Parts: sequence; structure tokens; C-alpha cells
Amino acid sequence: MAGALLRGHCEKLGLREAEVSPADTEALLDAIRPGLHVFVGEDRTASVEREIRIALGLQRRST
Amino acid sequence: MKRAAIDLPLVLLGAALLAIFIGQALWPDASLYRDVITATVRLYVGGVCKLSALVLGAYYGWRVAARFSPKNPSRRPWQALAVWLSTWSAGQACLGWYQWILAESTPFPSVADPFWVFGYLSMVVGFALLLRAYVSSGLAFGSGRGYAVLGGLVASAALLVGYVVLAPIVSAGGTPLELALNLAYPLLDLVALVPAALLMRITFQLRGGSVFRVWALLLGGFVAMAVGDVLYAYLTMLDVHAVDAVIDVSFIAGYGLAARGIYEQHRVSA
Repeated sequence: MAGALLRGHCEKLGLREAEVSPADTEALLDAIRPGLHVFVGEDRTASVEREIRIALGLQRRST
Repeated sequence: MKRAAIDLPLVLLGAALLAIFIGQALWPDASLYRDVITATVRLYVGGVCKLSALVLGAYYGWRVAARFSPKNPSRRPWQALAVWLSTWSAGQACLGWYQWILAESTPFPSVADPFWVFGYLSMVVGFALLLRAYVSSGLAFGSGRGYAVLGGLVASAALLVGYVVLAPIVSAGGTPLELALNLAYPLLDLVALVPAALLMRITFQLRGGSVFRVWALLLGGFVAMAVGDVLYAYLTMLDVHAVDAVIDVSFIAGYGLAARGIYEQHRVSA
């Protein structure tokens, strides 16, 4: 996902990089999910979300 | 996402085809083209490349469509794009029947034309529906005014090119069916140019990513096809055949890039 688009959504949600909480991350994922569905489909969206959560330490790799 | 393993062979194949066809346009009387890569050989090579690209594009188009759920607004557009390449595959196969099996020049109009026309309509519908889906996705940043201005500019340019290209075709005459088809192909290209340009504008914001690569390839292919169509319609009417090889290259590149773009979407959504 291009950084500019993510930054745009962060701005819409009032998020700044230094202070993104798990709840903010979920809000951001909720915001981009419909778009991801349209561009890459539901299955790929789920795997992208999972990768993001793992990268941020919100989900373990095995779950 | 890693580059596909198929890319290097495709680039080498493209370079070889470019060298063959452009070389023929530059040195048509060279012994290489009289004795080895004859017109018949080029007809087979070009036809096989076009048909292969179209069939592969159609195959992956259907697979991409199947990756979106029935409620997903991208499913129908991808089905429409798969119909586009499927019907063009049938059209190209019809041309192959004349050229390879019957060993005669293709009549015009021919049994292939309904496939081309239906495919064009599917392509325009597919682009327009995908544009709607992408705009409503929430990821299409930018002002509505910006998109309207770009759409207006592209439509104006298309009208200008359409006037230059289509006016002489109208005055050239022919049977009503010939005239209708000669007008329809470049006209449908120009109509499709507007949603195609807007799709490019939307996905340009995703540049650097896989989705952008999909549309850069797909729309690059569309532009190459459109150039081939416009050149073919215009130069055939003027009975100019010196750049037929360039037109062939345009179509081969167009189908190849479109198929590669759809394959990229298949990888992205896998």
C-alpha cells in the first residue's frame, strides 16, 4: 500500500506516526479495508491485515 | 512483491520481435526478410504471439475475477475484462483460420469482427465499472474536480484525434458495414481512453506498489493497441503499407502488456 495513501488516511483519522495505539491501528485497518477489498480481493486483504498486525506486534505469527 | 520469473524471457522475446518487425520496416528488401523471415513466417510468428497473449490474458482474467467475492464491486469489471480478452482470442483464432489454415488473406468484414466488437464493448464496460469501484473504494484520493478536469482534457484530445482520423474514413466510403466497422474500432479505443486515463490517475497514487504495476502494464497495453488501431484505420484508408510492421508490433505489444498486467493482478490478489 502506497505510503501517501496511508498517510492520507492517518490524517483523516487524526493519527500521528509516533502515537499509533492498537486501537488506532484497528481504526486504520477498518478505514483501508473496503479499498483493499476492491483492489486485491478479500483473501489478500485478510493476509495483508494479518501481516500488518504481526509487524506491529498485535498478533502472533501462529494465530 | 518479487518480480515474476517470466519477465526476463518476456523481455527477451519482446526485444527479438521488435528487432524482427522494425528491421523489416527499415530494410524491407534485405535478403534476411526475402529468404528467411519471409512475410509468411512473420504472419505465423505475429499471429501465434497475439493469440498466445490473448488466451493467457483471458485465462488469468477469469482467475482474477474468481478471486473477488460475488458482492465485491471489482468482480464484474474483471469478468468484463476477461470477456474482452476471451472474445478477442476467438477473433484472433478466426484470423488464424484464414491466414494459417486456408492460407488466404482475411476478408473484411469477416466472421472475426463480431468478436472484436463485442470484446471492445466488454473492455469499455470493464474499465468504466472498475473506475466506479475504485472511486467508491475510499482509496482514490484527490479532488473530484481534478478527475473531472483530467477526464475533460482526455475526452477533448480524443475528440480531436477522432475528428482527424475518422473524418477521412467517413469520406472514403465503402459498404455501410465496412464503414461502421472502420469507424467503430478507433472510436471505441477513444471512448475507452477516458476511463483508462482516470484509472491510471487513481493508480498512479499507488506508484511503487504492485497495484500500480498492474495498471501501468494493462493501460500501456491498451495505449499500444489504440495506436495500432488508429494507424491501421488511417493508413489502410490511405493505402499506405510501409509501416504495417509497426502496426503489428503495436498489437503484439498491446496484447502482451495487457496479458502481463492481468497476470500481475493475479499475483497481487493471490
